[in-house]
Amino acid sequence: MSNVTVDTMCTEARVIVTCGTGGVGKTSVAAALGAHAAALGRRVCVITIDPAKRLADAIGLAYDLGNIPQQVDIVATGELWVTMLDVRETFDNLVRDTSPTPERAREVMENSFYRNLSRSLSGTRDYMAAERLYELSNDERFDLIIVDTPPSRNALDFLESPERLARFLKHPIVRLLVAPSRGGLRFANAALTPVLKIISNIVGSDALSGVAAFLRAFDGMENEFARRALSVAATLRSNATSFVVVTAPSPDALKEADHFVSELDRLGITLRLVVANRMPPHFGTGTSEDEHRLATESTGALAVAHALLATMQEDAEQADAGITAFLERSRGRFADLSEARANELPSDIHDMESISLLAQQLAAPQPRQ
Amino acid sequence: MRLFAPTLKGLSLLMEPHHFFTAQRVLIVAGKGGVGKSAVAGSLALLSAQSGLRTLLVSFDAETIAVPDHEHLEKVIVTPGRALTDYLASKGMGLISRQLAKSGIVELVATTAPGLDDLLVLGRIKAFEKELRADVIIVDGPAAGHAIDLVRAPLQLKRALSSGPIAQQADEVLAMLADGNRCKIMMVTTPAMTPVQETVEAATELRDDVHIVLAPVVINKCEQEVPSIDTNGLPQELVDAYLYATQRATAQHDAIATLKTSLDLPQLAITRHRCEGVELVNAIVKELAEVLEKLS
Repeated sequence: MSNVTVDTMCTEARVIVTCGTGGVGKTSVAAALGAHAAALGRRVCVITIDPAKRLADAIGLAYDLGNIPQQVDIVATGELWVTMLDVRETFDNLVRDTSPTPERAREVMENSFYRNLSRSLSGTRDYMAAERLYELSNDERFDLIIVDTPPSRNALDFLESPERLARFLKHPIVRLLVAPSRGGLRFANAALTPVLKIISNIVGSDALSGVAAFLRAFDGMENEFARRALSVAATLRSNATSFVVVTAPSPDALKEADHFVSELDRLGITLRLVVANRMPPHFGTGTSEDEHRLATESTGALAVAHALLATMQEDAEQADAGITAFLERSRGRFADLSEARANELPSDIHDMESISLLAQQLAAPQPRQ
Repeated sequence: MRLFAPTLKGLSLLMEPHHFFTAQRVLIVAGKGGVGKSAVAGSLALLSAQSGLRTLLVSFDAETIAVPDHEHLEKVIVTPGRALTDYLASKGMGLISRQLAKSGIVELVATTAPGLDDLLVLGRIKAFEKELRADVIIVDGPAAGHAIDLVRAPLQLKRALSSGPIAQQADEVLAMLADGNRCKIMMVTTPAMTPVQETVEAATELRDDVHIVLAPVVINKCEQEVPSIDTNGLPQELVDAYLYATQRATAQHDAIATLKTSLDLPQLAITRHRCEGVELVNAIVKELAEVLEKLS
């Protein structure tokens, strides 16, 4: 017996995307699903955006290797690889791949605005996450890519970032900046010139001419950018991709999980699996009420232990109730949603062994339903 | 004021937080997701207001924790996504900025100068501080992981833009961040090794790069001590439960010790409360008042 959904997903999916708020163990779950899929014979690569150092250490991920996937040392019929997202390197590769000549590529990469853009963390990172997924899903070494999204409310932005970029590049102001400026901005579209002036006042004219130079160097490449982006978008919305929401049982984590569920619904994406991670474990079969009663009926060490277990069972019961209510709400949107629960380990994930323990729990049949 | 504390015994609770809160005008509360940062920030603000200080609680998200009203407490929400349009409006370009927002060009500006929104948010806070809008300004930092980006934004923009109003704004914000009498950052963590390590890394980076002064660090959601008992002869599930609880306690103890050796800051330990909303804030306020008293 095993968890049918987790097994099916790890056997059949080509892409798995995990999302969830910070502190719920999302990256650990991504790594655990990867370990399980590798045990089932698949060649897996986990992309993680910004892993905690301790977790990177746990899976043996070196920080200075940028985009190069690194193989994790585990016993499995398949393979487990991990990689981080290096925004700068991904962007550079994309520019090299799509530019008509090496000179044009160099021109783009030396541009001050480009350097700023590829270093900044927000929008570019989302777009590059999508681009990286494109690269890896076309990499013959892997047959399953697991994407661990950043622990942010806007983690799903990367799904829409390709379209946003395309819209941006088609914007009249952007086209105006791209147009060869023989006479400078003086002869440009009269209605738009004041707007450019305002932007120039805000960010300084140096910055704006940097943008203009970048856009001119970049002109023409955006078609290839858009083609790749649309290809990623199609993969993400196909049956080959499974979305997983990871949550912990605390009220604030569940509130964020609700947010992700409704975002996926809004984006028209089917949620397959909820992982309830960091669940306080149950011990024995007594309820918290039973344990409280036993504590008052006994004395000495026995009374102390019963009282301790009573509070632990209270936590576990409260966690179960929270998760059950969340699943019920989520099934209102996604009727076929499955679940996998994993207990909080006595100490946090710090090596491959604890990731394997987590994988075993996720792949086990669900005990309480 | 502390002079009177011994004679006004009932008021001593009000005195100590007062001393703590007036050590700077702006306190930015930062922490990764799941550590309870908003509950801590809300509780700090309420405690400050209760101690008689005019307090302003700045949040980035309308959906943050419910903080009870108080006559000395004012709450404002600053939305990073709207900071640029607000800024333009404040420069008398409200109409244009609305058109710009509609046409998507605000995105262009934000892309041209990444971190601009963050800078403008800090600029708003700096303005509150300059105009003495309150005695104490508590900033409930933005959602998960972003606090570092927020505070680093002016430095990055400063490197990217040499002149103009934005560069000037960045200078003014950096001056506030680097002055411990005006502004400090308070890191919130939970007593587990991973968040502790991330807290240490973030705090060190902020201190070294942005020269921001660190306030005492809050260790939130601490579990109660496990009483020591002899488990010989106890039923198996009790032994298992006891073993699990003691392992968790040891892990917590190790994490707190690591935090102490890696970050030379006073620690404010808050226990884990099993409630939420206003009830949670009130519980933390009560505890904070006690730990702050021990601190001073």
